[in-house]
Amino acid sequence: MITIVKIIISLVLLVHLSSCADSLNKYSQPIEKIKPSETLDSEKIENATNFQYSYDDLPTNYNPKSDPNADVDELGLWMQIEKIERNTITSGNIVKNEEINSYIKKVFCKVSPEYCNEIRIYIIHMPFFNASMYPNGMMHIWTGALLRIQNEAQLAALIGHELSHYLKRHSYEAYERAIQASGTATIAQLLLGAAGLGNISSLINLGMTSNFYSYGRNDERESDGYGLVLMARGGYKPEEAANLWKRIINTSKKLSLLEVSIFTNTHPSGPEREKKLRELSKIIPYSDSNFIGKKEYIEALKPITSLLIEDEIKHGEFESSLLLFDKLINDEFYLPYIYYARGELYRTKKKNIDLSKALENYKISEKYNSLAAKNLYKSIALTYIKMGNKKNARESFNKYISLHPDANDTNFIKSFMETL
Amino acid sequence: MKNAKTYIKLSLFILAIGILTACKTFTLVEKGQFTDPVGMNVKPEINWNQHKYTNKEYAWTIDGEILNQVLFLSAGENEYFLPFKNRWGLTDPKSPQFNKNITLLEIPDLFVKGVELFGAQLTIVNIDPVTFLDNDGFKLNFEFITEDGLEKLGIVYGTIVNDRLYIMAYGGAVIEFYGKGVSDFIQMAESATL
Amino acid sequence: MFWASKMKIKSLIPFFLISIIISGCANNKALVAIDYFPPESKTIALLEPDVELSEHTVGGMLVPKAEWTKLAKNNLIKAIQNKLNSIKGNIKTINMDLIANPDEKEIQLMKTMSAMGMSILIHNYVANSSLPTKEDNPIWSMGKETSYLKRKYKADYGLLFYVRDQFTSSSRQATKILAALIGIQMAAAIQQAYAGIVDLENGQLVWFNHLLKTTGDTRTEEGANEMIFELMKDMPS
Repeated sequence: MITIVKIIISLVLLVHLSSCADSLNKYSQPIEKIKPSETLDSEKIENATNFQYSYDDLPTNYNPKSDPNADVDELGLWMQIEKIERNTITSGNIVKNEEINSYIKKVFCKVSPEYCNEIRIYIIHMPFFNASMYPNGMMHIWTGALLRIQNEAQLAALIGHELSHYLKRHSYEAYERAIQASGTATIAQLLLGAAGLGNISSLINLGMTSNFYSYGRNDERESDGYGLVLMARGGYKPEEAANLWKRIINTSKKLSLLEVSIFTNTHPSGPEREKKLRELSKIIPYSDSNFIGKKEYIEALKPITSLLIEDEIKHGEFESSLLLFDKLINDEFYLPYIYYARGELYRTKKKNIDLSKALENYKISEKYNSLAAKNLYKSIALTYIKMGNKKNARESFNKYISLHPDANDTNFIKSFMETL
Repeated sequence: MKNAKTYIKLSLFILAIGILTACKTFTLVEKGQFTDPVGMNVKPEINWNQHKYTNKEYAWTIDGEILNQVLFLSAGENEYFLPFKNRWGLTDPKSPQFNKNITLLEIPDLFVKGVELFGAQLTIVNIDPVTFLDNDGFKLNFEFITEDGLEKLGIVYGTIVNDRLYIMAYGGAVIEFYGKGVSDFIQMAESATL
Repeated sequence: MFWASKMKIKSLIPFFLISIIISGCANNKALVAIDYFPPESKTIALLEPDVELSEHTVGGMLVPKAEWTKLAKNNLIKAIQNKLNSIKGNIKTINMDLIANPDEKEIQLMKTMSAMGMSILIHNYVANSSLPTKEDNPIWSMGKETSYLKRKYKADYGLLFYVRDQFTSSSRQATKILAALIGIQMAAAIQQAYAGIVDLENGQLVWFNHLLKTTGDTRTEEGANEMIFELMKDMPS
């Protein structure tokens, strides 16, 4: 009798012991993929000779909250989104540099003078291509997008595209679908992660979220069309929208399993999309719009170029970063930074470090501009140390110190050199 | 029969003691006494609360690890020293790993990368050479912002001894809480021995 | 000892141990009371309550429910106002408009206050996480910088509320050594609601009350009233 009681008690204890320990987060089921209806609107099927999208179709005074269909659900939604906006502002994860923010604002206002003062744009520190528009007029652009975009017209295309999702209520409806489909409510937590306000590992959730909150083909088609109108009205060359899409595809080829291209997930489309955009840009009635702005874009990004590339090195995957860097070299963008970054990739890989390749790339960076990448000579020195070449290492350290006498680690390096 | 009963009683006793001790996360570290978390011999001048995570990871705190926290870390060949684990408990391979070929100069960078994996935005203030554990080491000062946007400060001492990495780090909220432990931390770090 | 053949008494020892353990591990009461309530001559600023309600989905996932939260928040604010009206003293409500006019310093003060509240919740209300150094001296203070809020809002004390009906962890991973310091919220088994009063002159938390379980549904007025009643019942009126 007592034996039985003791056995029961030890079972109780075991149960209790397990609840005493920290409980792990119980994420077991992925969210079901929610697809909006895929039937195409028959009226909007493109006719190759007729550009369907008119600026007049877009509201000039869109106020998301004044929709006559607003109900309690919507109120809950606004609260969630406002919370995301508050978190965005206070998260510490946004780029606050004034010059770059006013540049992006300037481009936005060219694309849409009417909404110039209403939309808030935040640049989020995330090294992947993504931009999103929230139903309350907040836009997020990730630093990875800025690094991959090739010119001002492409930036305008991205902005125009996202703004169209907003003005045509796609953003709102996608959000609503997500709410309704889950049968419960919003997934603000995941969306916070999706907003890039969590750490990089939250990308697992991102992948899940982007399946959850995505635009359908109709919406994409519409936003492509209206996006072209908006950018063209701003004077930008419409064909750059097709080039932007091509760029997204080209730089997304080597993403690892975990690093889904969030943008392509939230904006599903087939490979013909680039082709479609190009066709549309040929028939759009704004033949005078031909500003591309490659130089202007690169120039405007100068204050944050090294930051963008550092982010990519730190958090990117070797294969996909290498691919991106190859593309940037082709474009001849940020060359001294890119070669330095390639050097870093080869030097700091987890497996199969390639010191001679690293050195090669550092040397090229040096030729272009030895002052661009601040840590260039430090990295060269570290490479020489690993190669066993102490003399050259010392030389490089000395170069670093003479170029950056006020660097925050000069004393450390000097002392380290004495032990060589 | 008698053996079975004894066996049950004994195992219950052991279970009970195990649970009793397992339940307490924090133990008191008394000021004025020498103690050696992860092999680093220090003598705190204020009381701390100790939380042992693993044999090679100890944390101390005054007001709670969210507010201020000392870390004692050590890693040998191919060991992770700031393992970032995903929800299935698997270590993210991007976590910093130590090996014999890593020079002291590279450690601050690795530490920073490790912290950033957890989602903090980090800015290095400075890195200076120091003597730590009677060896050539570094002292790194940095600022960071947590996922929730709270601003914090950090300071790290590190060195490599006999192909092993040793780190003592301290971090806390800018407002008030970093300041509460930093002088004692520095005193301990600068007089620590192996 | 336990090996003795006199079974009756000795075999009760595990029982005692067990009851100690069971009561020790899931302690609802505060280990140390923090309960100085300011006199009526002082002004208390009611800071915007931090509320989130959520629900478990089939997959075991916690999903924050926006409309619930909004309802609960509205109800809670109403209940708080009602209760505060019955308390002698001068209460004013504060709203931070972050989007139009973010005050960086205030934001950091509020975040530090939340972190402090969370720390107290973890370390003062869960027996196995108690901090030995606080056992005799349970002072949690964030220092004189809070006087910035005192000057800004002309209030002597700040009253803060925090409600989560289920703990929603923003973390997707197991707790590990850096998680707390870096700010990843740690998963905990208990529901959480707390109310605290901070002395804005010196940053000390003078009054703190924690609710382990919401017996009612805060989406309803009664539920909210009940919760606020529980949280605020030790406040003098």
